[in-house]
Amino acid sequence: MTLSPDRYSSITIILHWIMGFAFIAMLASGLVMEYVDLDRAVKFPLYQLHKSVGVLLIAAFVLRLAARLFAPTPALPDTLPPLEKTLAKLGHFVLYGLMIAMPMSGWIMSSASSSGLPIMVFDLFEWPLIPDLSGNKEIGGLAREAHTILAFTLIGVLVAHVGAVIKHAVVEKTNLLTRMWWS
Amino acid sequence: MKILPSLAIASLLFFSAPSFAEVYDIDYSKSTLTFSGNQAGKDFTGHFNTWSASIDFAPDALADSHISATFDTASAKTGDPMLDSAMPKADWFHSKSFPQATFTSQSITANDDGSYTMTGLLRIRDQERPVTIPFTLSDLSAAPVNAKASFTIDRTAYGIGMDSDPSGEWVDKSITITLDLTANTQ
Repeated sequence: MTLSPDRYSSITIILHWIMGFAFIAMLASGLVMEYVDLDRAVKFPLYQLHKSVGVLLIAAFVLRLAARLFAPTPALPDTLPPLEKTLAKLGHFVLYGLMIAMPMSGWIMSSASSSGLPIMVFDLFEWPLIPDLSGNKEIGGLAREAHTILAFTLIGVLVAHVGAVIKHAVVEKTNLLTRMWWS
Repeated sequence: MKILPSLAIASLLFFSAPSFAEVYDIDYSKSTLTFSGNQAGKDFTGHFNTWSASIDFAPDALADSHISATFDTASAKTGDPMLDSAMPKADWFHSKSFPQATFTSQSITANDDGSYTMTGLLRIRDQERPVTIPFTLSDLSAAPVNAKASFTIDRTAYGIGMDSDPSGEWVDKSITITLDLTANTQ
């Protein structure tokens, strides 16, 4: 039996923090684009930036999933009651699902748009649109709805994710952050 | 009584001295067909790189003067990869189904200031609309002749961008088309 490590792998730690802040920025920019009456000269580049980061998040997810599957994972502390362990595992599973469903639904939205605008990642290279979706209002509408619902779900799960860390730190005096940092 | 018809014919021959419109050859290396507008707050200017026009024109034979033009919608380029990629797509020019746009003049009239006003039909996609195009000419006696024209169209009248942006939220509805032609008589 191999000993469980104290922390996640370095690649997972790096990706966790980068992706965490990227997703917070994506949620913020998404809410701004959807609900704030911005001048189009600001809104258009914001859309392109949002799409560029979205493409990078798909790539980051692939790395992250591989690291999660193939690198050793620290066991949850024994101080955690079984129900909370189950909740934590379920929560992490849902987070992984959201991390890929968010950019994928956005990619489908962009592909189904009739505007024909390509996804130019930071003006450096073109990320292809999914073929034969352009102008498909049904799929575009569903993807848009999913993108919205998933975004609000992600906000809720993120609050629970951070809230759980704070709760364990305050109530049980257990610092879970050491699992996600080098110490 | 027989003299009247003869007089009529004679007067016709005399007063409307036969004048015919000249045929001009366009020097495409020195001529541009430009379009400009505003997308997301940014002005853009593009060119149709493939087009041709035929010009029969004479100031004293405006009724016999005709101008027509054909331009390849897929040859429109602004230099902005996002716009250049979107323009030939189905919601904009739909170049696959409507590879060419055409203009055919219907009337040309001279204005007091020496400029001219042309009316005609502009066809883009499957929509044909009347347009009025003012233009100016350089001295016709000195070759080559330069013609300049500029007019504005409402892209939505031609069904351009009607699905993704019918209200002009992102791309202004008004598009200015500018011609700068250099031509020589045959």
